[in-house]
Amino acid sequence: MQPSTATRRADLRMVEGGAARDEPLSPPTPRRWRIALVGNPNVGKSVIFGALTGAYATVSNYPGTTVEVTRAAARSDATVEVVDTPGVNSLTPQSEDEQVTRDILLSGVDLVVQVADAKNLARALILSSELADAGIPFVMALNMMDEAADRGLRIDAGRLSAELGVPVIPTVAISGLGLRDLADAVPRAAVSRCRMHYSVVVDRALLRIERLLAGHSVSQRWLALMCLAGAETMRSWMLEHVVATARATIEATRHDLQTEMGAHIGYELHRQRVRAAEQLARRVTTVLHDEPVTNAPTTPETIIGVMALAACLALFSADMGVIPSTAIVWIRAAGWFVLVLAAMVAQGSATMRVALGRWASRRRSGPLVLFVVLYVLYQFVGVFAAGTAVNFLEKTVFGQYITPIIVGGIDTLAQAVAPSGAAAAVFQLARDLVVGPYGLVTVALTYALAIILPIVTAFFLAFSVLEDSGYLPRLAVIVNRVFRAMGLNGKAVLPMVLGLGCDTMATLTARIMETRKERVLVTLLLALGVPCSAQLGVILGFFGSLPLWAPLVWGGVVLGVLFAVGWLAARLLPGERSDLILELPPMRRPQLSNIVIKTVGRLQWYLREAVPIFVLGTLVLFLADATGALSRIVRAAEPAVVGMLNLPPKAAEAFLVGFFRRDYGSAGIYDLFQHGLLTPVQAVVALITITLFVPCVANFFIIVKERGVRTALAMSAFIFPFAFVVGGAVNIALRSMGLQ
Amino acid sequence: MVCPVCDTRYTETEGRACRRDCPLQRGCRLLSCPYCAHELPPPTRLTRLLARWLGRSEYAI
Repeated sequence: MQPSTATRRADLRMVEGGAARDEPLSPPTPRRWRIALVGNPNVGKSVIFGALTGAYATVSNYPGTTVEVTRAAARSDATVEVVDTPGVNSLTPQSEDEQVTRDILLSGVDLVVQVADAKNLARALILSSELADAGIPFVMALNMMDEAADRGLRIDAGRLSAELGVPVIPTVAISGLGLRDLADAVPRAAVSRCRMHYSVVVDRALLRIERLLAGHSVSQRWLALMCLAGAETMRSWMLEHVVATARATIEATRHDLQTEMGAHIGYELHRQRVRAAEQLARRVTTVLHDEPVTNAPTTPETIIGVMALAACLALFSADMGVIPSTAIVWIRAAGWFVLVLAAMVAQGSATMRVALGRWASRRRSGPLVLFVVLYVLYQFVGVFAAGTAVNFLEKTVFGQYITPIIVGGIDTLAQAVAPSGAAAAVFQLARDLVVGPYGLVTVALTYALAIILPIVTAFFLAFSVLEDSGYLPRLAVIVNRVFRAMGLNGKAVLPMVLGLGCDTMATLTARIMETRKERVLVTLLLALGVPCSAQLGVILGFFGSLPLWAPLVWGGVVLGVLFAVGWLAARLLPGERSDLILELPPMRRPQLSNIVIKTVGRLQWYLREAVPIFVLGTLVLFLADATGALSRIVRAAEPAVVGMLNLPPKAAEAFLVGFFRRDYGSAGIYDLFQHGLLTPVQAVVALITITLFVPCVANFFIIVKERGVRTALAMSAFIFPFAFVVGGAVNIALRSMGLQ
Repeated sequence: MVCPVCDTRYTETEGRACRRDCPLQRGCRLLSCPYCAHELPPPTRLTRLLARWLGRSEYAI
């Protein structure tokens, strides 16, 4: 595998020029050839990288960033280095990942293997046009041809190759199809002749800037395009490579064009590129069968949708006590009948699912669909699972059987052994460790298995239905609108929605944000107010035992705090907003077998992860109680817990264990409520405080790792008192409204 | 695996590799989509048994 003759000649000229000037005594060390794999995220680059290289790859952070880049020698020629670049949607960077890929190309690669997703060709062709502008020779691997065929798409690779002027090789990387042909085609890589034609005013500005950048080894047109698009990351490059007068002229040209176009230049250039890419994709693609995605909802579907919404509103009104008690039974029966009917229609009708998908992501109907989803989730997790299953497990299984049997066994053993003196004290300590007030059975196992397990089982079932239906990406679209209203970067949506799964992983995902300030802001919002799946499940379960105003107050306060902090932070962190690019999969019919398998998998994961941490947290509580430290902590926390929040001192223990796992803390509050130690107002205040409270230990450590100790401590120092202040304010507000 | 959020198809190894930074990796072992980081539980002996019994070969949609 060697680069094309044309590329090699260009590079040789450079080497020969240097040699002629310096007349080296020893022969120059041959420069290593570099091939970069470039493509959109998730198009199979890593699999193709593995096929092109040997077993030994080096993974390292790109200098000055946290982005990992993988390099290895080519399988066919050890002198050729292959670099697997981070997935990008554009070579005009809007994130650290995109900047790293751009910088690798700027630093000089001999050729590129562009990996394209055949089922989303237009998106890949945007990158192709940028590679053409950059003047970098490339070959295209048209990957995932099998998935494109499944969707009824047939792509004419020969015609695409002719249009682009570069080799295009169809592949199915995951099964190895076409990879040999790809390796053979690499030496034939060429500079694409498929250059973008922009409007006259843009071309004029481009030419002017290109002249100022003459003499640089990288394509002047590409550099000029990046300067015009206003890539922030070009500023440092220009400071280093362009003289001050030229920089001023470039800035003036950019400003003039901006005034003439009246729109953001980067956005306008991208729009023109997208249009050209879509036209080319249409020319080379044949659609064998149309998906019903473009069909507008018909009257029957609209009627069913409106009926489902009306049913949900009627059920909600019945729960609120607005409807007269005589009609409640009938309203409930009719409401649930309509909801089940609508679900059955959606299950059986593809056009109904398409309509549902449209409503779920639209500006006006999206929040209404979200209301229906949340209401059904609340009824299933909060009312059904937490009401029935938890009562049975906690009061019957643990209360009447497991705990009494273990206590009886220990007491029988005590009578048989009859320890005295120090032995009796040790025996009593062991008894307390198992079934005492902070015992492993009475607290750790009861919380994990009797309270949380049934709730999270219901939550995981419901979550699996939502994720298999294709609703979650549409939720991201709705959240994106809220974020835009706050003035935040659209890319922040993904980590925030993922935070509903696990905040720790979502904090890692914050890497996609463009600047450090944005990454810090997203991390702060995640740590502050986004509950993880287990905690959300417990809180939803808790709401089943509380009046209906409780979830409204909790949701209103938590979302309000997130909105306020986000809005304020967006004002403090000015900058251009970027768009959220997310491919919306079609709405699907959830498969029962898949839901069961995923729920079982998640429950296994939960039991493996949560139970040991519950045991550890209970041990800490037990030791703190035995040494007297717990009473000191409770006394120290009294001004905040009792004074500000008006909670019983014992609630401090729930906040303490909440640091181990957020759901553990929420379960502690639930337990206090079940034992009559909290009123509904106190429960809501405690839930709001623990939702906003410091992140769990895993999340804290990942914040330390990603953002540094100082930032992690600063965040905790802000969140800790802030959560108590908000909780205290809610307590005063609810009491002043006469609620108990 | 097929990610239910972004439709990404990925292998178990890829799902593990992309979350090597998580401090709970050894404990929780959830798989994470290489594109959008959405999490899925890893296949276990029990889920494989269930999948075979229910006539499914992998987590899919």
